[in-house]
Amino acid sequence: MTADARADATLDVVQEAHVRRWCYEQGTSGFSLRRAELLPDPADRSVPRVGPGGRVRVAVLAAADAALDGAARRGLLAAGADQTVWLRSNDGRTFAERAEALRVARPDLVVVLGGDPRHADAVVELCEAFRSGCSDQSPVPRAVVTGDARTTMRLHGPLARFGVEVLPDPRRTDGHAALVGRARGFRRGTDTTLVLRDEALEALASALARDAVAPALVADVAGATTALVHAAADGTVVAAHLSGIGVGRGADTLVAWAGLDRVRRWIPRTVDAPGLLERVFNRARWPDAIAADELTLSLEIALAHEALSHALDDAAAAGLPVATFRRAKVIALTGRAADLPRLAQSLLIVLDAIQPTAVCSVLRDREDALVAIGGLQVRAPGDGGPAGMRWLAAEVGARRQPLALVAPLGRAATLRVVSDGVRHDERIARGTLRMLPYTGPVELSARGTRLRGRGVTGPLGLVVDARGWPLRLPTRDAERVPLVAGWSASLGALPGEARS
Amino acid sequence: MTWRHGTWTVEHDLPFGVLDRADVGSAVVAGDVIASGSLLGTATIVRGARRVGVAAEGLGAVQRVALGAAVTRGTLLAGPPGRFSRSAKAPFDGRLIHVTAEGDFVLAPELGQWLARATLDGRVVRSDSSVVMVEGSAWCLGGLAAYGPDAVGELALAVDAPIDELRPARIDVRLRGKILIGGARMAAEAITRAHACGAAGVVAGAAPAGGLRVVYGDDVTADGLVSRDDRPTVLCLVGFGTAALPDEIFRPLASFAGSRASVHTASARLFVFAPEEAATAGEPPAIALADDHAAVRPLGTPGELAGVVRFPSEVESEALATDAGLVPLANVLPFDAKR
Repeated sequence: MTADARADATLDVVQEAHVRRWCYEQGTSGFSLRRAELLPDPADRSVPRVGPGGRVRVAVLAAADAALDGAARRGLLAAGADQTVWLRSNDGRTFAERAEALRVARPDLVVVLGGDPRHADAVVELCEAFRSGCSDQSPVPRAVVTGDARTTMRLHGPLARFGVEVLPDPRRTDGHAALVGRARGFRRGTDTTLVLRDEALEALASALARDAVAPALVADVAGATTALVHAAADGTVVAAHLSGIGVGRGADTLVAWAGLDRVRRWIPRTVDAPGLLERVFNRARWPDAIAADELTLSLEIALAHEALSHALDDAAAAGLPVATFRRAKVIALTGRAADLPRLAQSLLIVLDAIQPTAVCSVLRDREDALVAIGGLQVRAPGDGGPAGMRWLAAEVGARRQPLALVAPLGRAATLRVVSDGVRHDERIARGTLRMLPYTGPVELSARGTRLRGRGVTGPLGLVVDARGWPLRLPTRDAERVPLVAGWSASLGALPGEARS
Repeated sequence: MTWRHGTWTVEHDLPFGVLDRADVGSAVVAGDVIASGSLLGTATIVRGARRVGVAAEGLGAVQRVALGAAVTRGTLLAGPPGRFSRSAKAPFDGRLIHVTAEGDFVLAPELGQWLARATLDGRVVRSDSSVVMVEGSAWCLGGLAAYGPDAVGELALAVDAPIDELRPARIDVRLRGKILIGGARMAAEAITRAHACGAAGVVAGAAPAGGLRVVYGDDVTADGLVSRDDRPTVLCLVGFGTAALPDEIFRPLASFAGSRASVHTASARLFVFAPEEAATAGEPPAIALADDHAAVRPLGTPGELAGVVRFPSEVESEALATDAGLVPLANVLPFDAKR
């Protein structure tokens, strides 16, 4: 599709109950992406849209093979599948317990990791428990099987009723792609106009990495999904899409998974746990609720912090290169966390939750424009030609405006900043978070540390994070609250304070 | 969902190990047993087709025990009788719970029994090993989330007004077997006291989320929790924390006191078995989420649009001017809105 042909391109970006419509159309200064004035009808299916897709409950029946387990975990994390039950052949559960667990889980898709021939008997037993527990389930769940040829042949017997599909080994690249594709296909269902939010984020991360000629990370926190997508400059994408946790519909699940104290620790004031839980539960059952007072906004920010922290932990547990994520040169925040009233609030989420370890530009999406660009790119898969690339580069380039340049320092140091050809030495104390009001391009170095880099600052200037990593928060409220409030205050992120 | 009288269907999911269930077309009354089954211990796989010397597909011809049947140690499962014949026998007392695709028998000892009861008066319209579905007529009020096992009992009013909190002092053993009608809030103390006094369940506008955690554990979420064990049954109609019930909801609820009712936790619905003319359903007003998100309240008046307003959080949003001040438009929903 060329720029002219794209003139009619319209896309809705759906988040919980609200929809934003973006059009690529001709304005006074040529073709560009514009937000439609009229609010679209959420039920309108005639316009392509970016959305989370349907929920797919996945049950995994796995051989006792750690490498296979890790590969499947990475695949399902990349596919945004909702893992409801994960049974291993050596988990010590009885036949009836397995059958009951599978029956309660009501899976839509069952992934059988057959492994080597030595695991065949144990995996067949798992599949028999599945057959016994779910044979009358309606709609009938589907089964995908991986493993050696003889084991998969044996599995056709117990799984015959469920429509067996054999996929390549998920440890291989083609197997990973097949598993991701199958699970996403389920989420998409028969909706041909739907672009999954995951796909749009991946296209966006690739576009940002190409535009910056450097690794880029997209961190997305929506109502009930959280994602981290890393794209290398060569276009390699590694993603973790967590379904079910977020700052809205998934807030209660986040609290159940991570624990209330892990959310509460990010709030820069003393809040009693039961009262906080009430707010989380009501928020979870109120689509697109708006945080009208300062405490509820603090809660939303804290939920975004913890959702990303949790996503990083899950990615690390699945063997994804989290250290590489943290070294990205460009970090883009999208979703609800990018819609916060103050730029500093979004920046603080990136600093605290992702904890960058290299000099990086942090930017945030506004009204889902970047997600819409990713979605439009996915809608035109053959649009990798020069015209398409120019369009994408122009749109991404126009919106790649950083909030701030972030310089992480592990310890106290003297930071040398060259701005407008003038050298400045800034003494940075350990444990501090400082915002330095530089503008335009700067060059950084700190003697005795590995910090070197250059970049362009944004409205929040140059932010130096000398808190060290991993960030450790005291458990006692009396110690933690002043610390977290101090960090918020140093960036001007607390409502009620003067904006920096 | 507000009060409506009509024909409803209720799905009762069955646990594993079903032995007996109601047939399609049979009439049931709420509280009747519609299925029963076994709680099973560690299963053992006994070689069947390969032991007897037949193909897995041919096992049926030599199988001597039906699936689900009770067996005692030494019971012939398949094959000809005789001490030296190639046959499969039960190694212990238990039940035959499954026959594998490769023709083996899965046996497990019985540890106990479970029962599933209907929550609707009507007829069974679907019955298989995973679900029994009942269709029938009743008054129905849809709630936001329910916790615990299904409950059946007589409705009993335990508050004086829809804004009242259900107080533990109002609950005693005389309410045994009844479903209590609370007001705006039911705290954990009231819920556990009601359960200890033998009440079948508690229905109110809201329950504190922290209290639900105390009663049901830390994994509990705003989506409810279905369980079969001995725990209280709670139905939150509007929200969490505090939520005064609109008059259009509370008045029929109070008028149904003394009627037979049931709570189906999986779908968070309250069914009342009363004649259609027993109450008049009104249209409840919209509800608003409090600014601190800790409560939900019915709007007394519809309110007026106030344009884009900047709230204390610095969020700018379309607002509604209500009798209690400005509320973000997104925080106001019809009572019936899908949440």
